Amino acid sequence: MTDYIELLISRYEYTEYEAKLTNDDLNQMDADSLTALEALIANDVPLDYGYRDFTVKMLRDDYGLNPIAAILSISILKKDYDAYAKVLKSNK
Amino acid sequence: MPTVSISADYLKKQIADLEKAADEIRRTRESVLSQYQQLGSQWNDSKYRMLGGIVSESTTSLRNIEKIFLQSQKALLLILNTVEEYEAINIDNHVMPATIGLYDNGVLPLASSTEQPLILRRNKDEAISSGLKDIEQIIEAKLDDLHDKGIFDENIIAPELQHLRDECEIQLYSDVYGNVTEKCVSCLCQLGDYFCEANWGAMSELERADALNTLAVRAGKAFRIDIRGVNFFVGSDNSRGYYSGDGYLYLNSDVLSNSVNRMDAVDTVFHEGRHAFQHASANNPTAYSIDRNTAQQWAGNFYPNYVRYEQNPARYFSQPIEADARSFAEDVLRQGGLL
Repeated sequence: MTDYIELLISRYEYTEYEAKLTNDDLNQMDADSLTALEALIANDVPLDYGYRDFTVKMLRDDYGLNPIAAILSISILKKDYDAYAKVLKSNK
Repeated sequence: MPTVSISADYLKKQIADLEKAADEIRRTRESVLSQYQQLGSQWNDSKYRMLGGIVSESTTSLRNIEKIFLQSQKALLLILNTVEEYEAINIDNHVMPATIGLYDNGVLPLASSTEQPLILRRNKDEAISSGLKDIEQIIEAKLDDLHDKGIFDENIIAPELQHLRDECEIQLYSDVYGNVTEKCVSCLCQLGDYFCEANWGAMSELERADALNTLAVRAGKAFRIDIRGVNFFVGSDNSRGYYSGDGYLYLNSDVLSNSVNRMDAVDTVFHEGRHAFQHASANNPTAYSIDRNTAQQWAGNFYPNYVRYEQNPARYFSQPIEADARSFAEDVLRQGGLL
């Protein structure tokens, strides 16, 4: 299991609590999403990485997501598109 | 259909009579108990103990009668609340004023959250005060009971008494102020005409804003918190609303411009209102009829265990305060006939 906690806190402004949970989630991602994450960490934001009508760029620009959260969201959309698309659209 | 006519004044008199009767019973009970205890200083043998059994039975019976009076008084207070609310509503005069602008922080006069008849507030305060005294007696009785059973360990006694106190207080506040969900449903039903599809579609943006403002303030009254109204923000269409803690509920302005967002608008008022309620009850749970464990969970979720949407939407969605607010708003809309 890769430890992203320090990176999430120092570079992406996660709180300690958010970082711990997100670290667990990132380690559950599929291989393509992990590759996209590695690209992001290497400062190459994978803007076109996506699934169906969602991309990292769209999630960042239109939904206001952190790029880490955008990649994580793509991986979750792949598992359960309908339910998670609803989650993304109900920010209240 | 038969009609029943009840006036608030008549109810208030009955409530006062019940209080007098309960007070009389309490004084009698205390007097019997005190006289028996005084006798014990000179006469303390087996016959005195036998008499103790009789005295105990009598005081228990008196206590039960007193409880019935107090419970009846609380029930009448609930009816009085409804009657006074009914008397305060003048449907013919309830015209949404056109003077409140979209970004105006104004509140409709009819909907002021602090607008509660003084007599009603005093009656409720009295019912709470009297109920809290009852609870002290219940706690004392429970403590005696535990001691009689030979239990003196504070580690056992304290949590048991705390649990009993919490249960009693939750019941008391719920009896006096009513169930929050039911009161929110009631305020939605009272304003239901504004939010039905046909009327909403025909309303102007200003009228929609006023209707949502009124709904928010009345929801605040149902929650027993100060919600001053709604404000609107221009944002992306997936950002539906938020509560910032300044007394206003913030809704995406597209609920005004696009009539298909009608249900979302109502849902967001109750969702964000529930967050305001969670904040209030996290500090004083039993007074809001919330159990201490839930309140602690909410308090911990607000800080330090809060997850922001932009950092992890899935965890944001599933955290306790969000799950509760969603489920609460859904319940209100369903029971209010909007779902």
